Amino acid sequence: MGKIAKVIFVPILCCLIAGCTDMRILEDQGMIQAISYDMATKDKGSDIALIKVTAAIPLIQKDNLQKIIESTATSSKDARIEFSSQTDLELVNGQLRTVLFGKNIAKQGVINHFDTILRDPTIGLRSNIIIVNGNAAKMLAENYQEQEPTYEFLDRLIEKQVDENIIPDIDIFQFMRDVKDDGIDPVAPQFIQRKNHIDTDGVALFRGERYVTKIDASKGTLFSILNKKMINNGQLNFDWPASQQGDAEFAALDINNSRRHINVYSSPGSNQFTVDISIKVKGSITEYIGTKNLDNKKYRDGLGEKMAESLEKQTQELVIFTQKHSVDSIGIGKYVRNSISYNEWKNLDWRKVYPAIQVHCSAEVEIRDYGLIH
Amino acid sequence: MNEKLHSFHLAILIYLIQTGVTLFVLPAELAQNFGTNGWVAVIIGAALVYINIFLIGAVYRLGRGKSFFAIIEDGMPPMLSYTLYLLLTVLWSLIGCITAKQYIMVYQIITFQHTPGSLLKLGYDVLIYTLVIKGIYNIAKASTFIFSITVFLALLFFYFITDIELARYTPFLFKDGDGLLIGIFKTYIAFLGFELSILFFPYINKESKFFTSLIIGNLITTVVYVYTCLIIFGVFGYEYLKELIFPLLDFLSIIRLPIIERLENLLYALFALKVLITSVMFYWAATESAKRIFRNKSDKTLSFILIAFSYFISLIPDSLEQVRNWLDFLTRWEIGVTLFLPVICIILILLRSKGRKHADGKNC
Repeated sequence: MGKIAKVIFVPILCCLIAGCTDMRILEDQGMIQAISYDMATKDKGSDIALIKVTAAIPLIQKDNLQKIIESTATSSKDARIEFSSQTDLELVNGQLRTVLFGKNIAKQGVINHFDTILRDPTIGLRSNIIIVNGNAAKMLAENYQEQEPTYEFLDRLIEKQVDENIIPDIDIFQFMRDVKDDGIDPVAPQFIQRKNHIDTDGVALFRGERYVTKIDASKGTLFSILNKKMINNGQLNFDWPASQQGDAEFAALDINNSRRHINVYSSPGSNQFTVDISIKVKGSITEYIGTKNLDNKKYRDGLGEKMAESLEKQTQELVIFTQKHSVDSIGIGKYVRNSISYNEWKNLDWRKVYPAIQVHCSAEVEIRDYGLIH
Repeated sequence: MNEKLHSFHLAILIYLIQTGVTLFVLPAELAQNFGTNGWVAVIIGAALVYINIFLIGAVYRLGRGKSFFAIIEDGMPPMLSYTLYLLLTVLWSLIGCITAKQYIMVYQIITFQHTPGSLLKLGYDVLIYTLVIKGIYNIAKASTFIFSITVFLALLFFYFITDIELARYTPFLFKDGDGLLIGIFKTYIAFLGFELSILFFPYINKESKFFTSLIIGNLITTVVYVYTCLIIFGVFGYEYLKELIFPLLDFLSIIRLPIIERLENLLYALFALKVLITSVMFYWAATESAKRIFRNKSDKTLSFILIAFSYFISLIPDSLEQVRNWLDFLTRWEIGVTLFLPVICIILILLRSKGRKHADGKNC
């Protein structure tokens, strides 16, 4: 055999031989795209809480684009065993894109259900996690778009909402990292099933691994500004009702970029912390409804200041909301931890201290342009 | 024998012998043993390795390039030197073998779960054999090629620059770890492989810049380890790292490029080449050692016997944990060897030169 023939022949042979074992025939694979977890109704007289697990796999049929298999069991592992008896396909997890948790089950804690997901090397850590306000299985089973299965629609919806910073970009990896980090509490996007569509419900806030409450979708971008060091997209709406100072006004700001800084001041030896969160937002005005003429520099400057003032108030409210529920979803704990010694941090019960700390939000708004009209 | 190892090849070879599957577990071990900012410990490990490299450099200089085997045979009784060779042959061939086995077993976690590991290992051993018999120069050339196709991996890590959060590093050094001593021990193990350079003396000349190449080779390893661990600590946070077994696998799995994702499957396969050099070099060293005992046997026959013999031994440990225990045991011995060989060589050289001086003095 010539040298060139060897060079070509051997690699081709290697590639082909690799397919002779551990064969996976595409037509025989049931590629789970989304999986959901809900609390199931208890059997009468039984104390064991059951969970309902459903999985969506693609189907190529005219009237149905996805096949839903469901199972009720005591654990997610049991449920998976039952799955395989319901289909002639070999169920594989490599294509899993979204993991849905019903709100009820999320309240009990989600880590146990992650065990299978984290252990399975075929599942990518980039799979999205979402919380469903209601029944996750029901939401997944319904069809909303004619030519698109729900799991795919959901995947695209999440991607778009994340791009616009309405919901946080949370995958298994980020969620687990925040669960393990003692300076932050995890968050997840929350969705709700409406009559004919799926709607963004807001941002689910967790205390450790347990769901506690949510921030409304209208405040999603505001949360992103506080939660992330920097964002480059999103929209903020400002609404000023009519008052003695002036008429009602409305302005929409398209964010070009927003930066957040957190500074911690502490008095040594005490659990008294003062946290300054400063936010700098730069954006373009995309809508203004009001009586002021933006031709006038004085009014233009005034609008920026009013926006900053309103932003300060809204972010302050959001922080107070998290303090009230004792969830450090913004990750202030990480900054406090880094401002004190290791022993001080370990002796500090951050969960108890967080609601009582002083947080002060300050904001600056820079308006890059006002669009094409005054 | 005219061909000598070039200093560039030598440095790359040292780096490739040192790195392998260890890189996949190292960040997690650092987090478990050192806790916060465990990545700094890599520098401590590297510093210890440098002390060892100085010892090997000293052997080269004091012995004026005399081969390791010649130094031993000149100063030790034959029985003792044969026993040492036997021990080294068994140890090195087992390390080469179990390292490959560990790679195969981790590979089976991600692909070929149901294919018998023994079959995969057999295929891998054929590859090892074909490279070992080519000799040190060709192994060095192959490693330069392998280096050029694996080094781009480091560029991929730039993907994570935005995921790194400084606050996640914490300002604390080595807090919340399980044990500093065991940590340093394990970090040192991650650098093992450089000690084989003590066998390179007959294959180098002045232009090989032996000592500088060793230092550069170990420096490349240190930079790659520090860089990888630094990024992984910043992305995962030490608390999450503690829970993982193969953080680098998870790390690669979260890279999502526009046309491709789940890169870990592809990239782990690339590591086969890195591990190949590690295994091949240990087998090469074992063959060199065995050659001194069985002088009438050819290199090819000896390599074949060693690979075949160790292949059957590698069938004994059949779980990843067992393989890890075996490797733990073998690397403990290897650390001993790493320290013992240069020290004994230096002693033998010094004793001999003292003896010579003494004899010269008498003659005068």
